[in-house]
Amino acid sequence: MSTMRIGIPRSLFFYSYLPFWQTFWSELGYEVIVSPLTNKDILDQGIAHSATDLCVPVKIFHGHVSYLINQAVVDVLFVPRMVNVGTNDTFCPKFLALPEMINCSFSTMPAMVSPRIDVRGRLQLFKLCTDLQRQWAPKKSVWGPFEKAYTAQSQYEAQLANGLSIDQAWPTFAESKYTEAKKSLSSITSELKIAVLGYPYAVYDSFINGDVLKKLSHLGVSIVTADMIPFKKRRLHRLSKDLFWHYSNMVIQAGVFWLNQSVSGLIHITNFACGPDAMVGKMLELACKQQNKPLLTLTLDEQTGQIGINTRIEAFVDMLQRRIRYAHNLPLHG
Amino acid sequence: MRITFPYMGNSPLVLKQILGELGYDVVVPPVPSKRTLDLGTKYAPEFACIPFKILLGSYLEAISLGADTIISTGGVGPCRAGYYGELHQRILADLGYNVKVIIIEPPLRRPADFLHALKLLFNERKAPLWKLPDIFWRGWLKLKAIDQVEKASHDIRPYELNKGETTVVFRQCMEELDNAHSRVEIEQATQSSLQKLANIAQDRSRKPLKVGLIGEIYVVLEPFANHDVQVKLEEMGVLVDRSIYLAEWTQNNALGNREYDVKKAAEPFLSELVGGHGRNSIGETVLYARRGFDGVIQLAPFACIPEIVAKSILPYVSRKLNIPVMTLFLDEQTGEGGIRTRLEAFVDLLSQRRNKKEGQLACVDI
Ligand code: SF4
Repeated sequence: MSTMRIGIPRSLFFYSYLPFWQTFWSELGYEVIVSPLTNKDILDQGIAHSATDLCVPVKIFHGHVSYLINQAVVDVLFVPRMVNVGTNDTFCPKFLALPEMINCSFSTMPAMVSPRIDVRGRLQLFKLCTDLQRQWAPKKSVWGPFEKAYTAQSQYEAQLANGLSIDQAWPTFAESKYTEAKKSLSSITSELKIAVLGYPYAVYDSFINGDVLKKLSHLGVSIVTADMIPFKKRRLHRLSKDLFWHYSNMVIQAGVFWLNQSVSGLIHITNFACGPDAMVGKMLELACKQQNKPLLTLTLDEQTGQIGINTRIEAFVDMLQRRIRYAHNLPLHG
Repeated sequence: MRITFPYMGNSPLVLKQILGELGYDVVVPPVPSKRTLDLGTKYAPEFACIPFKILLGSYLEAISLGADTIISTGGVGPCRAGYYGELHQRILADLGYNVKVIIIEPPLRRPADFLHALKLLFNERKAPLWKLPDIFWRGWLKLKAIDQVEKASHDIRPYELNKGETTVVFRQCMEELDNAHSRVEIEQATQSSLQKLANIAQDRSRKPLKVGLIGEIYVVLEPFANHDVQVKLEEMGVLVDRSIYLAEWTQNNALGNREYDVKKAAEPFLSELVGGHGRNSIGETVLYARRGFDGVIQLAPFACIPEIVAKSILPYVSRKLNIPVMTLFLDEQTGEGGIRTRLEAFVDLLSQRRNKKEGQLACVDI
């Protein structure tokens, strides 16, 4: 029997948990097929296969699934149901219903692996993996693959916390696109420090966000993200009442954290028609207002063009630089 | 303490009575209007849902009438509504209003917050403790009476001979109920209302199309938010079954989740709770299909997470069970005319299907 090919769509949970699942499945003897970087074709397929009023990331997810089914023709599709990862919040309801949404949207479907991921701690994750191994690779042992996957994931997270970009921390993210000399995000030490906040699948999908990160580093800005804050530290910055959604809490806590660390400004990358972001955006806006820090909100939709985004980023950076210069010329005491 | 509350459907009649009898100065928010929505839209985040915007506008109107305290409900997600109170409070504070927002959290999930809210609320009441059970009990009776009368009106309107008569009579009934406070009065008002409705001239030989109305609770219950779809449909001669009435809903939800059959019906299509009414919308569609309804209309605020999840799955349900489903997304740009056209088109489709008998699949997209 030839090796089974399992497809992992490049969106949503992807940017946070790829190292774990890629390692796990390949150690179980699968050939792991990762869909390519988002491109126009994938976006169009996503739009064609999903309900009109969905947020862009979920549409993009549909596009990646479509690629894996129709172009890569994988044997198995990996669409986990992300529920809870041990915090007191759940993922956005669209993550909760993802397997069903995907199932209803395509007429022909390969087998789908969609474990319900509601795990508090390593032991429960291990149990879940055991179940997966029993069902999908009964001849293998779960121990080795699990250990390797777990280590890969921990290393990945640690490297992000140290300021590495995702493609440095885990090469699959790059896919030969970024061959140019890499600097880690935080290695640029510029006076201008900007926090770029948003859900991982918006911040790291360079196609849909017009490559904000690269653009900013070309402008010589030093970038900080939510991933650079260790979980425990971030949680010290909780709101009086938490939001309900995992990534949303991450964004808002990171926002408060970086505002306290004297960043020059905040860029919030949000998605058109995203439910949770309506709340997150307002909270960030109020937090920035309190600290008198500028906020730039970039709303991604199907038509977001790189040019529009570029101009707005340039204008924002310009404004921040002027603010700094102006502040330097001010006497310390009025 | 001049207190106000969220405006939704018929519930103001009840809340007004309860809070008034507790001894508060009650500021009843004006019936939501274009102005309310404009106000709310101006200060709410762009992608907040329409209930959030109407409520924000409604609070602002109540504040301008002198309200200084708002009671509101909380929640634990994953629907956004659970966070409304919190965010409303922050927005109002940012606008410089010094109002207190008392958020009543679900007693079982956040007991401490719940008790705290009760303390805030009851500390300043004037009614003696022994009166409370009676006050709440009569509030409850009134809520049930209102629902009963409203249901009766929906059973009559599609058959009325003089278009619009039911609506006029129904308004009188609500006034009558509004003025009924004791148990006896409430009972009398109910009976006389039902009688008045029954007296409306009707043509019972009609065989109206049957449509189920499902979706997010606020836009289903508040006619201003949904451009009065239910009445519009009924005046086109369609019998509409609405999936949510406040009294039933309260009974089902306050005492733990008791909507077993709806959940079970949804199970094969969506196994996970997605907050709000997402899963119910699926379950109810299944039930309507089983009961032989001609079609289902889903009402949802634009960018409502649970309902968009439901919407993504509904075409599949529709195909499997052969029942047409139309989704109406509502936001501040939704116009009366557009809604009417779409309703007419849908009703047209349903009657063609009925004539043909052997139905083709149809899930109408926006
Ligand atoms: S959080 Fe927003 S962008 Fe992400 S899936 Fe939910 S609605 Fe879409």
